[in-house]
Amino acid sequence: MLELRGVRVVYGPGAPPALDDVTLQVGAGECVAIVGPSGGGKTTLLRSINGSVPIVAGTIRVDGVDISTLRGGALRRMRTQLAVIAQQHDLVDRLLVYQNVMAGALGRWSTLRALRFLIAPTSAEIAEAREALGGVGIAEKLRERTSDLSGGQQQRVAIARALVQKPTAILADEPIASVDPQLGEQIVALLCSVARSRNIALICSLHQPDVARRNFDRVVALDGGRIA
Amino acid sequence: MSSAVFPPDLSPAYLRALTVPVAQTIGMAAAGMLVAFAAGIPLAVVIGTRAPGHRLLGTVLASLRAIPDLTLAILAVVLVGLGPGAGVAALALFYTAMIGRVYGSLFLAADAAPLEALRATGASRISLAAFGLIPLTLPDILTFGTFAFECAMRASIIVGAVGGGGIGTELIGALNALDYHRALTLVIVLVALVAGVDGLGMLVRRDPRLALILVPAAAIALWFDWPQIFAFRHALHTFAGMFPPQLRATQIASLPLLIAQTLLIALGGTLIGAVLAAPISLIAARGLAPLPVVLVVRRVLDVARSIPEIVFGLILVVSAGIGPLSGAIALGLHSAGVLGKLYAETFENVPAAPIASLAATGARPLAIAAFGFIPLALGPNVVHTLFRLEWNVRAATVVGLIGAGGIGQALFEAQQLFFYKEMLAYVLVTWGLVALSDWFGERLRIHMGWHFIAG
Amino acid sequence: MSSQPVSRRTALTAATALLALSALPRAARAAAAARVGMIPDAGATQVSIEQKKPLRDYLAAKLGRDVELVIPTNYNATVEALGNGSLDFAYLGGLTYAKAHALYGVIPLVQRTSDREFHSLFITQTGSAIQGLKDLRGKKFVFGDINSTSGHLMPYYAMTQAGLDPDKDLTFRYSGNHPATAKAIEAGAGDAGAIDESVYRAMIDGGQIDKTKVRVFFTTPPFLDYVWVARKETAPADRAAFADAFLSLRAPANAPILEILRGTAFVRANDAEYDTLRGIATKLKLL
Repeated sequence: MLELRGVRVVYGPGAPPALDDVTLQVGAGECVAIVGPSGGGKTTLLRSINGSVPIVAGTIRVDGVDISTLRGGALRRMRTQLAVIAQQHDLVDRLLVYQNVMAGALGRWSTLRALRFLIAPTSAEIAEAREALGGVGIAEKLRERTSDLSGGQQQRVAIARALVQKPTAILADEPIASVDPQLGEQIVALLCSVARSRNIALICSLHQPDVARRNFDRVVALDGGRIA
Repeated sequence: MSSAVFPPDLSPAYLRALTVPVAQTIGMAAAGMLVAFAAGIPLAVVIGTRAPGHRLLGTVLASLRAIPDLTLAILAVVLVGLGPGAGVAALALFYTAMIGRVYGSLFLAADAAPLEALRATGASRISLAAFGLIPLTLPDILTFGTFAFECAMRASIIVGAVGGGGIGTELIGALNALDYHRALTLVIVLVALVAGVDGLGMLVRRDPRLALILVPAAAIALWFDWPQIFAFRHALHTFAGMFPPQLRATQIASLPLLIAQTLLIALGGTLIGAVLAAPISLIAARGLAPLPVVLVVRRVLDVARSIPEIVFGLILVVSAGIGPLSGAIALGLHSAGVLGKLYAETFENVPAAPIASLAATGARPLAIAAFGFIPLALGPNVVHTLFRLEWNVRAATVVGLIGAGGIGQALFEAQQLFFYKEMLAYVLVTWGLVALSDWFGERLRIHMGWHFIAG
Repeated sequence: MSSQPVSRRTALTAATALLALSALPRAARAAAAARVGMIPDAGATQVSIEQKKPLRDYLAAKLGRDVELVIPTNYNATVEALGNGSLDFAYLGGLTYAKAHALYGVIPLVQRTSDREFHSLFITQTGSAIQGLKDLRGKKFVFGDINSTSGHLMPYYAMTQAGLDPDKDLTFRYSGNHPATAKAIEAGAGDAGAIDESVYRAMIDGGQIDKTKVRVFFTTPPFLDYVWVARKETAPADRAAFADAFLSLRAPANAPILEILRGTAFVRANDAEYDTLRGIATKLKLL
């Protein structure tokens, strides 16, 4: 579970804070939507949680561990607990679908195993990828080229990759920004259902407050770096 | 071996003696490029504005480009005699074709709307070029211009090798005299010259008006390197003696073998280059390796890139013997420099989002390279490699000069023995081979949908 | 766009300057110097030209005008330069002379006494089993320049005289010049090679090749080789002065020049004497 307390982020000397005194708790299996205008701090919030953006005040705890104290290998291991889903175009479109899905396992694999997998995947690894893809409803796309998939299907692959990561939390940054509204709602619903069924904490930034209200347990509004 | 090559001869007497050849080489490249720009840009405007006859012109320029610069240099010696004048003539012809064709396609691809507006005012082709085409494509024109200048500096070595003067002639002399200390000095000078052109190009890109300062400098060089004679009647007589091209029956029978040898040298060279470049480029890309490592490796690649295939070949002939293998290695070493840089740049330009997502899973650096950088960079890198293969078909004929075999060696031997009818036949075969490989490469790129990536 | 008028004016000025410069008479620069071509394989470096300064000064004094020494990188360029007038005099090998005479009517002037009885040497590694020409069957052989009399024509002829067909019975390559042939054999890049005797001896004496690694296994019969020639259009008086300059060279007074020319004395050369060589070259399809 995630716990933010008094988090403050400033991008440069003299700049207004991108996040200011943000306090937020998300439990296992809980789905929280972050809404608000562009530049309101949604992306910064998600990036600060996995340590991509340094915080200047406050604490962020993942399963009780303060992530601002982590460096190098320890930070890398912590990141394996936090799956990230971005807007789109974050898959490697020249790889096959199952290769993109199993990229979620890279954090727990040795480099040697990662290279071996690319050349000769075992049947167990393929089965794991198929299971994850089944969870998002596109098991039949297992061996296709990622670039041949539609935008909605690619987002499902990204969710499958997050599931393979077996994370404590999923951080989704506007996952439906570039798909049509109807499809977007389906994907958000899918994301919430897999998070609940697997007891994963979900924080998802969204543009559409109505979609957020219909699907999430809690909706938090972020404006000017502060929780409204 | 190393004590025979190191240290380079840096004695004041030798360095003083080198001022003339170095000045000749710089002058050759500068004067050749001045003529090439002066003649090539109007031709490019003809192509870019789709003036009458632009199709024919495009074909003629493409054909000219398919004749290796070495062959042009040999013909230039016949016309204008020994010395840098021949080098200037060969470079001017080769790069006029290159500038005309490449700038022509840049002009064709320029933003159409401002050009329509200019045309509506009834502007002439010249003002269309001055106010529309050139300003619109300026960054690309400058980038490619610098690249062409850099190539001309390297090519001046090749034309020097067949009588064009400059440090090319000097290098051949030093190697013939088995003086590797001096050969090394000359290679260092060459690397420095190419680096100088690179630096100059960067300055010009920052302030394009600097290019105009270069014009009078190049004009002075042109004056100094102006051919001492124009033996038009002699040349006409000699060129007429090349017709009709003909080969003896035994020579025709050996053509397939010669062509196969040339293609093998080109393929082998490209393969060696790619195999060397692939791992090196991983530590030459910012974002993949620590910055100090990147900077050092990039310099090493620059050095390999500045040394033309034929110079590698001349050095290898001594240590590895003569033959197709040393030809392929010579091509491979130069190609490794070129491809290493291009691969590294591709790695630096891969889309950031998929890489960020991979890093977010907590993947280790090598795993990120294998799952992200390499597959993402594969397309552009295949295109770069195909372009290099096309280039190497041309270069494989040039290393024939030093006995690497193939069609180039047959051409050079026929020329050396004054069998000009045979030489012309081999020139035509070479021309066909290069034109065919260019055409095939272009088809392949279009087929693969990678046509948009420029070499 | 504000820079546009400035750059156009500058460009115009530059173009005008360029035109003016190229219109200047070029003859004023060359000042009617006699251009003399040396042999390519002497090592065409700027420094070696400077080492030949005594020869240049001597010829200039004898001809009564400036002399420019030129070292072309290959024989073909030398001959074409004689044809198109960018060289006035040149030093040619026997085969190249025959070609230049046939193509452009160059006039033979003088040659070293040693050029009248020249030899090619067949060399191999000290430990090799090759003892005579017949042992070359199936071996890798190295010639020098394809246009060289002593590095290609005469050794090739010697092989045919010994009953070999070099095109079928062995594989061969051209190293491009005599020193490269010696180096290739020393390094074992070929089984045997043919080389100009004067170059070989100079390299052994100078320590450029290790005499414990290479040995001579065959010496060709004597033949006529190098010769100084003049372009057809040169003035008879100039040709006479040039020939006289060489014929009057005497040791020890002219020792430095004779050393540059690697000779002891010069005699007049005669075209008819090259008929034997022409016959061989025609038979071997090199002429």
